[in-house]
Amino acid sequence: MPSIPILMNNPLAIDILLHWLAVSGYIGGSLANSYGIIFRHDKAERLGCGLMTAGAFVHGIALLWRWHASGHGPYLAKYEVLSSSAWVCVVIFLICRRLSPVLRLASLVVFPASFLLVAIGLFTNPAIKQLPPTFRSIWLVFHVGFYKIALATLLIGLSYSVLTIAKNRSSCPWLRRLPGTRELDRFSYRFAGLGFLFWAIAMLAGSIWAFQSWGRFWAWDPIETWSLMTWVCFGLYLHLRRFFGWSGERAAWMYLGCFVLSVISLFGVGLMTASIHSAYFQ
Amino acid sequence: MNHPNPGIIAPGVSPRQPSSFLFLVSRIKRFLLRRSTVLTVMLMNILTVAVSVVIPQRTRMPEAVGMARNEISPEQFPVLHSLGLDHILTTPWFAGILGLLLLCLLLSLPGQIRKAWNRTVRHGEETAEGRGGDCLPARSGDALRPGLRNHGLGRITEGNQCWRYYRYRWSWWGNPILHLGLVVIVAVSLGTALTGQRGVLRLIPGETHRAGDGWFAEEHGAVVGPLFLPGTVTLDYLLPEFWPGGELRRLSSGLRWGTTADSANRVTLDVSVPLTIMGLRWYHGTDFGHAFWLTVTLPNGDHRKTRLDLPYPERRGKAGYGNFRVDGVAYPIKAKYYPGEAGSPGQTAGLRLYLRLGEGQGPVSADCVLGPDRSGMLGQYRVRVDEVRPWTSIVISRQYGIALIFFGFFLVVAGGVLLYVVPPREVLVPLDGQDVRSCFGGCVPPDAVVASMTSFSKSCQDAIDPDLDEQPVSH
Repeated sequence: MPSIPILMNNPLAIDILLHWLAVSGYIGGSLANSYGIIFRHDKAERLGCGLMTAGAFVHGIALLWRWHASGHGPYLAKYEVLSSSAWVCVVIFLICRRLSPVLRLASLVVFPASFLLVAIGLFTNPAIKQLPPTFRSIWLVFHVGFYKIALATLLIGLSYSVLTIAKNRSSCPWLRRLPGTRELDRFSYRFAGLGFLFWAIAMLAGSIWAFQSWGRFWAWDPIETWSLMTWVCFGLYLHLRRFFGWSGERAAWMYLGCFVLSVISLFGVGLMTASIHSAYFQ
Repeated sequence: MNHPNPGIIAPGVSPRQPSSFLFLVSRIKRFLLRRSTVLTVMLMNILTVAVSVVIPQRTRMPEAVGMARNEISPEQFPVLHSLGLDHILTTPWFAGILGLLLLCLLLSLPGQIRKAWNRTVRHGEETAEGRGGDCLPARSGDALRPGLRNHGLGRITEGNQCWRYYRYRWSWWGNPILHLGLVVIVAVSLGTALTGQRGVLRLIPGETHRAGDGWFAEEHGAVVGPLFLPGTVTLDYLLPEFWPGGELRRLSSGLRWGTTADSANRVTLDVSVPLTIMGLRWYHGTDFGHAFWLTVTLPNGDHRKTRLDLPYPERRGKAGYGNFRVDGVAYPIKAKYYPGEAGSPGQTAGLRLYLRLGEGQGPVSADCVLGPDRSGMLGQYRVRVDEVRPWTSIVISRQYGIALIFFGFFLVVAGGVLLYVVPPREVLVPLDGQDVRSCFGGCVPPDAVVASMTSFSKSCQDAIDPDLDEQPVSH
């Protein structure tokens, strides 16, 4: 076990230690919360939420520490991108849950997904990368921030789509206790609308940033293109629901497809192909 | 003249052109406004863009060259090339699909504006049945009213038929505003693509680009010619700054420009800090590196002069790569260089150029390592590095309407906020004892409003009849 002075001289070691602490909180929180919801154990559910909140607090400190050490926000390199995305998902969900306890069911998907994001990040290179000259813009902060918020809202919506499908296809006793599929379906619709909106804001901020840095508001860069496709697909989803009466399991499957597309846009394309965005996910 | 029987056209009388034209227009309009048409056009856009992601696209602009390193050559895939599938986003048919989308959006706008107008300004234009929404079995409108007020719904009286309670009434404008934003974005983007001009200068310190000289790379819209630079520009110096780890921190250049022979204005241009000069927008390119002037001596004694521009590596200690061909040399030459530890482009001490002769991924037939002012043998060819100088690029563009595109984005966001953050809600309470109709526009945010459809409907039901335990019926 390294001594405290050695740790203090190594910002990365503190960062990783705090991240593992947060992950421990997330694992415990996810398990207790899921147990509490599935087996109707209020105490376990409350414990799960408490652990998740504590984990998010430690995780927040880890991100602030890294921000201080690197001199830039947590949006460069896989480690930072995955970690900060997970933190935003947890925090936004906890806020939403606080405001509207009816959303607690979404924790069945949001908590494990967030834990998974941080855990994957921890297995990537945690070395601090420095900002390239094009990344010094306030629009970049808005661009990145709103994509994370969009991911968080879409993840909450995904939870309800997953539950809609599960409730339709399974006869598990605990699924029967959930609200009707119509109710679950409505939540995914509403969060899809919010995700669509935040995704649009993120694209707007990105296009202003691109115009400032490269002289183009749109360059058909692979990541831009995938992002646009995701946005249009969610637009299509909203259209199908509103004008074609899509709902229930059919809409939930489409939501799932759109969500997969959004994950590919945010985390996959940067790995698959060269792009002017590549610096953020290498 | 009107014929007594509209189904029969009298001999010698031609059908009335304006009415058949109007009929055709209305048919086209109906077709474009059909939900299935809109859906198909959206799908066509998604599919086209998806194909452009799958098939490597050709590009001419240096900032995107790195992305196109896997591009396909027209000779290899002539069918793809002839269909424009290797440059989809610049093909007329892609512009056509975008145009179709624009038409659909434009034609749907008046109807959306009319609906929003009717719901917000001209109350009572639509019947309760025509508005859709959820229907609650009514017992007594009087019992509902206190509950509605408690939920923040204000009342508008609509004639003698019903009372209308609303919240966020103006949010009905969210839909037309969002679609207007999309119209602005697509229309202005098409305009920008047709009229935009862009040129790239690649300069070495001390080099002057004169008015009318050719660009290193350029692109322009279909309705305009290449960009003309109405003056001279000289790169005085190039100043990169590095992080301690060797990554690029800042890149700036000192430029001298003038529109007349004796005028000289000096500016410093930074990456991400564009300037407006001579009425054009100037950007510092994000790329820079070293240019190598080489003399290749062929086995027969002929000399070939060539310039090889290699990009600066991602960080010091790594290599910058490039491939090039020289007339008379049988194979392509693969090159990489290490800029040395000094990092400054002006300092070439420690700089090493590695050359390899070989075809594709095949075996290397010869290689050599050279420094500035050094020569060596690359197989049967003698290669000499005559000079090494840094280079960078300056991007100059003229584009109209960019602010409008951002305004369009703003409209989309504003419309989205109205629809999904403060969604309009209304409840129609018929005075004749019919069903009460509640109507919610868009989606609602994850606050107390989220539960509104459930708890609100339930509380309305409770207000109607506390013992009633029926679910709302969807219409």
